[in-house]
Amino acid sequence: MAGEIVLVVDDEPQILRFLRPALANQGYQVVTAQNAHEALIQAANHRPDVVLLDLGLPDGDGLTVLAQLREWSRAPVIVLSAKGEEAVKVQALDADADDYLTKPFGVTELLARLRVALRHAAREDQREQLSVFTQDGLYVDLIRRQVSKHGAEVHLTPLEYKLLLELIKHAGKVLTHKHLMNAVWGPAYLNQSHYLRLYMRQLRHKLEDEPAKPRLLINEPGVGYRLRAP
Amino acid sequence: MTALTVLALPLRPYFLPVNVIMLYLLLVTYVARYLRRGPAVLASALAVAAFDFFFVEPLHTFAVSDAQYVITFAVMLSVGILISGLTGQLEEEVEARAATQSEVANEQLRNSLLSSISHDLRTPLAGISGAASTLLSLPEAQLAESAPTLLTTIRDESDRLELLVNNILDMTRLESGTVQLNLEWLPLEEPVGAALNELEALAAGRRIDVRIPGDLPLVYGDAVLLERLFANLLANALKYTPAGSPIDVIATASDGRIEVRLADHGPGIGADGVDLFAKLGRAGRHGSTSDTRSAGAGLGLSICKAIAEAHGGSISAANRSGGGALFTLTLPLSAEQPQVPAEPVQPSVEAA
Repeated sequence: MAGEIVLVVDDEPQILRFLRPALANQGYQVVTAQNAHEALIQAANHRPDVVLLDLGLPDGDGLTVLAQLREWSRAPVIVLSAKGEEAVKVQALDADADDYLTKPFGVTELLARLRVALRHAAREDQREQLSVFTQDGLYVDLIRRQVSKHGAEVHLTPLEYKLLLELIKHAGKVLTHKHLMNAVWGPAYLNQSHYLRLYMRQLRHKLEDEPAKPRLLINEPGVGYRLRAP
Repeated sequence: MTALTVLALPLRPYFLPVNVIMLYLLLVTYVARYLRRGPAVLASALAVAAFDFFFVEPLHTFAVSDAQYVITFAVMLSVGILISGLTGQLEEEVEARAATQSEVANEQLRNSLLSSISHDLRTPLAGISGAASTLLSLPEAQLAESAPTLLTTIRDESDRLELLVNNILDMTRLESGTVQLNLEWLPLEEPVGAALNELEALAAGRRIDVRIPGDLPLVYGDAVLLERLFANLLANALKYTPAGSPIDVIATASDGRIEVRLADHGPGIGADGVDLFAKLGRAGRHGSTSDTRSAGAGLGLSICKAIAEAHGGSISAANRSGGGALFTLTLPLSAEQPQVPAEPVQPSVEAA
């Protein structure tokens, strides 16, 4: 995985100070920008493989940078934001950001998210089709459409399977409630978010070892759901 | 006024007019006491009119046969107005004094809260800056041996600082009333699960048994705030209980409400009647006053209370008979649960 270019857009020197060695140590090439204007120039010059974007920039909105970047780049964008800004996170994710991290975050978590984002991008590039998904005793054969947990077959309803499939397609990445509602029930049902909650509960009861302590179907309050990735 | 007039009318032959005047003035005093100055002045005027109309010859007219009564009316009206004024003034003074007192109490609370918070902020800060400066001053030979411990201290203390800062922010937002509840239908396991997820590091190696029935009705609540509530309750339980002891979280629904009981096997909450949910309540838990691990815990519980109340619910704490503390959260249950159209049940998802 060595050599991928990471563009870090953040105006706080403290953040850059620890991110630079942490990322370089993993073999990434680090490019930095401290404001919105610089971010777009750096992105155009270096064509990063992944972007870490702080939403609160001194000269503009991180969301605007995201929109302008998306006009020509498909590089995964991981948004960095402060706690309690769930609405902004949802806005960023719905505006095609790939993931988010809440400040302060640990380096281990950041590196895991980076790997997920890069893996995704690579798969999309090669139009590679996943044929099997496994995690924590869950086994999903995407070609035969068979689901099992610890070797025992699990029966899912068509909608439960559709929901699981959408989560598997984006495994490791957070998906907003709106995204999932749209993908499974369609745009006419966007305000019926309890459909999603109840189907998630059903899925948890069928797929989790302890449904009250989910290990697979992670709920991100106020934002959406994430399927834990291998 | 009407009631008094109706009551007094049949008794007209037996009452001296002076007693009727007294009764009217008594009524004016009560009006002034409970309804304030304006209504009392109005009542005085009505009392004079009613007295003239019903009790002064010729009856049932406003005409007056005896000119003496004009003086009676004037005195009655002035006394009525005077009583209104005095009573109103007295009430206002009492109120003003109470307001000053609560302001002083608020000020005292703010001051002690501030000193408690700054103490809690300084403790982890001292740890961080101490560990960092030690690291910088160590000779290279000693670095390899001491660095891991010192770096772990820095990380752990930063985590604690983060918890505290989050709690201060949450409390400020809840208190200023700027928090808008974002209400949605939620299965209770979602906020509880998210809280457990958040506390993963803190709860490492601890047994937390969560029992939430799969058919528990949905809660109509704010996902983010409810997660904060459970995270704070769980963090509190983890902090005040011995390392090996289990924590039970049990949810039940009955009588139009959802009850979540969080039971631990720690030292309990003490019997000194200290309100654990008050902002400085952490002194109430055994040994906690001298326990530096308690950073932000007192605020945490008052946040729990504020969030429960914002949802129309409540939270209480008690000692368990077998030892340990029991926190009970009650949330109202809406009778109308949202429905999802039934889906044809298929034996299996077959290949398309």
